[in-house]
Amino acid sequence: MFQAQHGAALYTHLAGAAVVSVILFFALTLVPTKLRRPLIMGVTFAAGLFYALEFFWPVSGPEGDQKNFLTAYIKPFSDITTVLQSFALGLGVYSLVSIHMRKIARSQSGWAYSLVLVVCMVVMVIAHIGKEYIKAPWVHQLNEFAYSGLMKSLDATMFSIIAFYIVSAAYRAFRIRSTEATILLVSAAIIMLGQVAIGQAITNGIPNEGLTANLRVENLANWILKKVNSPAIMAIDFGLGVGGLATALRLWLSLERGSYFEEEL
Amino acid sequence: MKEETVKLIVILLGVASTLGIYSILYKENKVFRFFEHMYLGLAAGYSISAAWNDILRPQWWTLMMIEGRWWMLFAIPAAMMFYMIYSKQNSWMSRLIFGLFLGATAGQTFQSFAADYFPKFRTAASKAVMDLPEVSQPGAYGLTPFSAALNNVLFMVILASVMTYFFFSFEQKGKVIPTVSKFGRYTLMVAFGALFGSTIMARMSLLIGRMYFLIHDFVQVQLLHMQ
Amino acid sequence: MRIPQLDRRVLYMMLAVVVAIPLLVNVPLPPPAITPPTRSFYETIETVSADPKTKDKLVIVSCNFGSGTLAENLSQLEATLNHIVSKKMKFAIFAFNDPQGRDLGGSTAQRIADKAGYKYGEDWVNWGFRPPQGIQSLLKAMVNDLHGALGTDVKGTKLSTIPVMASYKKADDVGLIIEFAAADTVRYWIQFFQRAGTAPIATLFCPTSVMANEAYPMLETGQLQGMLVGLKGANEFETVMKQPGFATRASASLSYSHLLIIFLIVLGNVGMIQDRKRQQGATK
Repeated sequence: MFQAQHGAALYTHLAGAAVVSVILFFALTLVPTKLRRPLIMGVTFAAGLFYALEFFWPVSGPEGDQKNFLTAYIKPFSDITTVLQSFALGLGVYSLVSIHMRKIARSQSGWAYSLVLVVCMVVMVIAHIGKEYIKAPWVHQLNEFAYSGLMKSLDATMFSIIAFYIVSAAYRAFRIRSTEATILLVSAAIIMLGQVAIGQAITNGIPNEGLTANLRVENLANWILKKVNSPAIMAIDFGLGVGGLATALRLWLSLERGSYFEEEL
Repeated sequence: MKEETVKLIVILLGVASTLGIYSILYKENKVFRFFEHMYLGLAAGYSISAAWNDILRPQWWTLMMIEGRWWMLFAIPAAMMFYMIYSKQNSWMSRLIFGLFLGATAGQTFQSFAADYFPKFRTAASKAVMDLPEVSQPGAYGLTPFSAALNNVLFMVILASVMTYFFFSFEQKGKVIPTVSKFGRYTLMVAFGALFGSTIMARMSLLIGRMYFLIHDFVQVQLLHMQ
Repeated sequence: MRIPQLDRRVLYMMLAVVVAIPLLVNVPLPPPAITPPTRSFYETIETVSADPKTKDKLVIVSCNFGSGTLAENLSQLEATLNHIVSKKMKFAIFAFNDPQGRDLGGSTAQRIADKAGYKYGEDWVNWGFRPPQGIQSLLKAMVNDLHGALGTDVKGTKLSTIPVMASYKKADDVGLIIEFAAADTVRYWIQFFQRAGTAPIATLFCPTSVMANEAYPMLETGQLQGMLVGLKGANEFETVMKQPGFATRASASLSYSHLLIIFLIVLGNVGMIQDRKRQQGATK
């Protein structure tokens, strides 16, 4: 039944699929209220079960090519979920555009900036998708201006501007007010000095061999990162991992509670 | 348009947008707001075009229209369920499709947890039984087996005390647990200090990147024709 | 002497000057110390390229960064690719977090490959970008079938028809994974690919500095064999390779900006102590 078609047969099949889609879609709208929640729970459970079974089910086959009966379906299932998620991008675009179009239509304060936003979005879409289809040089030049000229620079500059705010915070907010703050500051200072050449130069006189090498600032910084930072981060990570697993189980088995999960359907 | 002219315009646009964003450092102004909205628009446009160019076209449109896999059309009604969020009567249908993704993500957690955390648990546990090979590793300056063992014990103590600090399932009473928890808090401060130091380096690096663009790519190469 | 209250714009200007001067004039600076994560990063490439079991295997160069972190990730990528081509290793560019990674990684690889006499399709390949939403499943599928899971390269050519890919068909044919990232994407390699073949694959990580702290435990556990920490890691690697690039040029600016921060923290605290003493004096 699911065989690739070409030419007129393809369009016939597409038309048939469209009709079936419409019927299925309307059939779903007719699902009675009391069946809705079990249906959602069933779909959630089945999707999770697919991956869980694929992982836990014993594998067989030659070494380096071991699989079970579900392994072959992992990629197609993943491809289709990826496609579906991309369609969901429209939700965000719709929300963004509707807010700014409303502003423009009502000439609210800052409407000109909203216009800039919408125009830039359209230009980028034309340029970036257009370069894949149109060979004319203007499309590629437009893409160069929009992407390489503007977006790359704006992206990098937005990320870099925080450096200035850190300088301001270092002077105004980084105060030794408690034991904890003092420990934090000393640790930060050692790491900062140990990471850069000018800081390392302070202890360059100490030989880099034998026990005295441990007094060099870069070795101190490395010790903090490996022996104090690592177990502390690992402990946080363990908490996150176990918490994440528990949450995943609750979601998979539809045990999660809260406004979203308990709302009337 | 000549290639050199395009390059020059790209650099000039880069300079204008960099200085436009930095103008906020002086005070809130219209130039910054202009470039800020431009950035949001361009980034949104880029996401849309990336979704089409890199996902929908190769993984859906081409398969359906070129390779003839007509059943890919069923992705449309499935995707339409997302948009039922705007329908009062049928918004439950959006939960059906969200449920599919929640379930799939939850199902994948078992493997990711096992592969990510089991080696970490193993390392954490083996530290206690004198894990000494690092004495010969680079960076173990003059470490004797004794000091390496001491470091391993310290590793375990910090791990246990930070976990104790985050253990909220019971009230931390008595003398031992609050003391361990307090030590855990102090070691967390050392880790946060290290994180602060690294954050500074990251942000400075990005600023240097922009400064290098203004000074080298624009002034030295474009204006002064230096190499 | 009383510490003056500095306007934020004065602080910003101080930072701009401190960063700009070393880029304008040559400021003498001692070479950086080579830290253990960088040293093991270098040694892992040396070992993999010398070991008869791994030297002919593929190196996956995973470029998961965008223009936002170009200053850190690009210099790491350049230095590492220079090392890989000097060892005559075959490599594949891949991106799954940001489509920009495919283009930035691809253009950098093209430039370095051209210089080294590498030919596209024979010595290296660009697998292109795959969406992050399906990366777990894709990596799982890649373990047994690289060609089938990835399909085509960045130009749309089937991987099975590209000469360099003829002998690389599954995870066991991969000798090294190097992840250049602005986020925690190395986890995906560790969770779904690194240990899925018959032997674990050596994995190296090039994060931005801010991401590095979270990755240190993975060096302890053996999940990572080496790491270049941000721009300073790239600078150390350039020093080891004796091939100065952007990271080396930026080293002085990085150093002096750190000194400025420490100076300002000290200044702020001295001011606070002075104020506190003054207040105590006034109450007495």
